[in-house]
Amino acid sequence: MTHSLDAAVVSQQLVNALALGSIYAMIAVGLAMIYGVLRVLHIAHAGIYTAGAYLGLYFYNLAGNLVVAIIGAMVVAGILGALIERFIYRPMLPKPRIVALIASIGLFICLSDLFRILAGPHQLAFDVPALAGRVALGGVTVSGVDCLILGGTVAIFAALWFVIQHTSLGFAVRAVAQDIETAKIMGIDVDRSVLAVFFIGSAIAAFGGITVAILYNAVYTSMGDMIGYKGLALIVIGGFGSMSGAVLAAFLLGIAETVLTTYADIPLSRDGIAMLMLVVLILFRPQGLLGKA
Amino acid sequence: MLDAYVITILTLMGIWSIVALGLNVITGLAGQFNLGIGVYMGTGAYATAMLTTAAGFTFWEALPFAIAASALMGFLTGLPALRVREDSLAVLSIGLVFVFESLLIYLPYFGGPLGISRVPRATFAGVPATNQTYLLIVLAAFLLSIAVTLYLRRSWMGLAWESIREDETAAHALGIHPARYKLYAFTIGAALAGLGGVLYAHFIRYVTPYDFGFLPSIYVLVMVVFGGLGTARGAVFGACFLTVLPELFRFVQDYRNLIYGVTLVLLMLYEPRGLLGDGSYVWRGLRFLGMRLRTAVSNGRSYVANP
Repeated sequence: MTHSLDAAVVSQQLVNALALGSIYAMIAVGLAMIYGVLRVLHIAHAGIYTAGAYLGLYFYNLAGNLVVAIIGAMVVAGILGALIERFIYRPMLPKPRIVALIASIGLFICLSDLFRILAGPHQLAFDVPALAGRVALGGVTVSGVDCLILGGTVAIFAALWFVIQHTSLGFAVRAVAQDIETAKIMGIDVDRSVLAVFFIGSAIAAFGGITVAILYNAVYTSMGDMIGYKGLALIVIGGFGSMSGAVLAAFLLGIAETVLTTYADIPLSRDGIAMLMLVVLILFRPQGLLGKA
Repeated sequence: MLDAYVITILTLMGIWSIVALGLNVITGLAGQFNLGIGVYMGTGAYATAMLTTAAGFTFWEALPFAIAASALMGFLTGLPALRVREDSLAVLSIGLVFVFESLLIYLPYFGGPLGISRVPRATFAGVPATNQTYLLIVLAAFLLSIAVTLYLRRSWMGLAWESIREDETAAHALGIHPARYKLYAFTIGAALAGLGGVLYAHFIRYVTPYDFGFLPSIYVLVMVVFGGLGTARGAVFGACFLTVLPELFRFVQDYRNLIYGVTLVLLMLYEPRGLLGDGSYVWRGLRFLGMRLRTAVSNGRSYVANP
């Protein structure tokens, strides 16, 4: 394989890598938040992501307006996530850790079968003509979808940072993540904080699902699987429960995956390469990128 | 003389029971999370498929090599368990199963996505085994696996596993070397799963990478958890029940993942020990019934003081 290293190709690769990293970050940040408060590996998060894509398509066909569709899907997916917390994880909190993990796996395989039953086994198209054009940004042309992904990521993460750092809700969430028992003693409404975490995390994942569906013009039942597994690996690498670590790991994975699949000749699928990198990283830095040895 | 269909079901029940027993050793007895039992089953199946198709080995000659290959795979993938625990280990095993599947598809030696076909039949006393004699071979392997699991649970090693599962730090403080016993668990569990894989390969007679991916691994985990994690009877019951269920009810086949998923969630909510696990509602009821029966048969003269 020969690739010319001219500026246009490199900058296009950079946009691709950032878009991929943004998508990973959107699923990983929810997983990290949820792990942070409940210490649960929320495998069913991949199902929420897929649900977001289906809901987005449904609302888009209903309303014909992308903004309405995105907000509607994010809210409904957020409620779905909150319901999962309330009725599945909360009763399991005192039980051994493997109980919630297995319930999460059960929920995940049941969700993807539910999508198949409700929406059919075939891939659906998610065509948004408004985003078909390309935007010129200082010599680089960026497709409308990439603009949506990158812009949405910046907006969402800025809002998330503000909520976590500067609101009383964010303060409560940080306290719960540090020590759930002590937070309860200090008078923090733990249940409400955990519900909020699930709502926010699920809504962000739904946004990721919608943008990926528009990017590839496809909604299908297993679209969240691979990205969900990678998200789980990302929160391990980011240092369990660390949101900034998970986001950093997500962008690193996006860049590494783009570079390795384009410029290296490894006899593995794209996902195989990504998984191999993640496995090696977990092996050599089990405490995470930002963790202390 | 059994119906050919019944023989097929019984053989599959035996094979999945063996694989479930293997996972039970790793996750149930030693308490090491593993969501990728397919790696070990696949190693056994691919090893025997390659040895019998490309190298001209017979079933019985390939069997020890294939089991040794799975055990080695278990040992190697058990090494990370010395460094990472619990959730990291679970995520790591997910990663490994995808790397394994991807390697099988993309490396040129394993037949690509189509896998290896024309795996020969097993031979028994010099002649190719019919499905009936093969069922006997599977049954023998199954009984052997049960015996091994039950023996291990009662042995010193079983006690060591239990202590590591319950509290690794305390076990270490008591002079039990966790690393060694974890590696034993991975090696033995992988060997059992590999045995199941070998039997699977010679029964279905072709292997593809997708047979041993993440979802099949999850199915095995469902079997073990459904019956009762940490008990041989639970693993066997779960494997047999979940193999026969889709055959009995057509709608189960169509909505397999939905039903498995809902079952898992409900089970974890209301009976996390599994249907037949120690201390579960059904198992306590069965024990009580057994004691009542014994008292009744012995005409009230029971050695059990107060059943």
